Amino acid sequence: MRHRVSSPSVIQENVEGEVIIIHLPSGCYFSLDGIAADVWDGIVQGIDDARILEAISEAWEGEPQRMAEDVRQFIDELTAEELIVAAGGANEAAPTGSGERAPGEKRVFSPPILHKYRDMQELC
Amino acid sequence: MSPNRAQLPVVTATSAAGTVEPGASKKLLQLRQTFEEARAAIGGAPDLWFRLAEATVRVRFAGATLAPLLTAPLAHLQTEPTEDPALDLFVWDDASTGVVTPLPSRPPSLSTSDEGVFSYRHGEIEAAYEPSSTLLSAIDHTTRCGFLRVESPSRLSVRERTSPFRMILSWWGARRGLQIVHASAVGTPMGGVLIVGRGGAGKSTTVLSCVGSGLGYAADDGCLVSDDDRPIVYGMYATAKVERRRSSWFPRLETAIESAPEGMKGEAVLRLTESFTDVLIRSFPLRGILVADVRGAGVTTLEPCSRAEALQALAPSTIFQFPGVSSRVLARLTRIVRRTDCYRLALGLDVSRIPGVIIDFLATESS
Repeated sequence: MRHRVSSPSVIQENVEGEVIIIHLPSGCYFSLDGIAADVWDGIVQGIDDARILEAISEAWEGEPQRMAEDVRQFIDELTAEELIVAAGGANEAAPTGSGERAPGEKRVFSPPILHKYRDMQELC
Repeated sequence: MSPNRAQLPVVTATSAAGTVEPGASKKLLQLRQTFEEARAAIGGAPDLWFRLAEATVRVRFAGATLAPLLTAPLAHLQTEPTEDPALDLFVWDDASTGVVTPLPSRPPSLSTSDEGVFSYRHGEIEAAYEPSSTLLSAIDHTTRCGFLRVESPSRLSVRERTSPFRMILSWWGARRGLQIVHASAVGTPMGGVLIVGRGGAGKSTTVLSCVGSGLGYAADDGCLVSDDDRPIVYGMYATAKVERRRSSWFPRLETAIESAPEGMKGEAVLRLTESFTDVLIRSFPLRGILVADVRGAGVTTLEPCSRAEALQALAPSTIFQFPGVSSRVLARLTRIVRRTDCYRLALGLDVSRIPGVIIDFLATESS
């Protein structure tokens, strides 16, 4: 399945591998880094979930089934927060990745985390 | 009147909630006519001229009551008249002038309990209406005319009295490559910093502690920043707000404190005019963005932080408090952050040490 960012309700920027996301209707904003930023980057590029998971597996060291479950759960969380929605079609290109990493270097996988902030909600 | 106005179709205006309200554009096009009727009815105060972000702004009034209320925070920017101002602001109220300003209706899809600001955009016209204060702000970019209307002077909110024309200047600035930001700012003509962070993070405490230190005060919670390779910060208002229980931390500012207007529970307004004009600075090159972080212990220091952290401290509050196309605002803020060194300002117990940390930082940046 492929997803896309729920624009125009959601705006986002990637700054040096860290992502800031703002959900305009609710006033909530979010931050992502590391694996979470890589997954998000793949979604922004229009890559389908399976290819995103492939790319994560190539870049991060971890138990494959666990990685797949955590990434799927993370994508579900992004959907539940209305940051992404299902999109049609497929993009066969591989994600380019959001962080700088030396070729062949793998980092240890940990579950992607979506940091949520609610302090602006009273302004909405 | 804009030569294109007669050709504009009566189209719907999109409210902040994403619904549409027929006829809003027609009402917005009548604002200049309404002002002229108001001014004819009661006369006008003398026009006032201000120099803001290297441009001249003329403010024109119907009646005399609103002028001192709305221009006091800008008094330090007052300047001589010029030909062809970059912005003409028309200001009036209905009660004292006897006019009835046609207002955009509340979008029908919103319930009567919905408050907040309804914003409208139609071609070159942008507008916003705040029902709770009856404040209507609008700008016509084609004619470079801004409009500010309130039902009566007594309805002016504290926000509008301390940071007047905020929405209009935000729209105006955006067309000139200037982004209004929710930040405090201090510096010298050689360079300065933005202080960013959520409410209560210590922005106001930081800038007020710098008064009298040699660092010029540019902003408490809003200023303009140019979207250039070398961003410039432009101060706007000579006002600040501080929690009353903390006002004793700034004894030299005691005479600047105003008695709290109704609705400002817990906060005092400071007016840095008259005897404080020498501490104000109009602009400076941006050298750093400091993310305020109250530690409540230890000494004040600078710590490394990522640009993403600075953007996170700056962008949401800016986007939710100022009008604009949110995606463009975020992109502009990102460019500003990318061009600037960012640090976390860990605020310790002794506020008197804050200016020294900032002065040392600026000395390092300039070497």
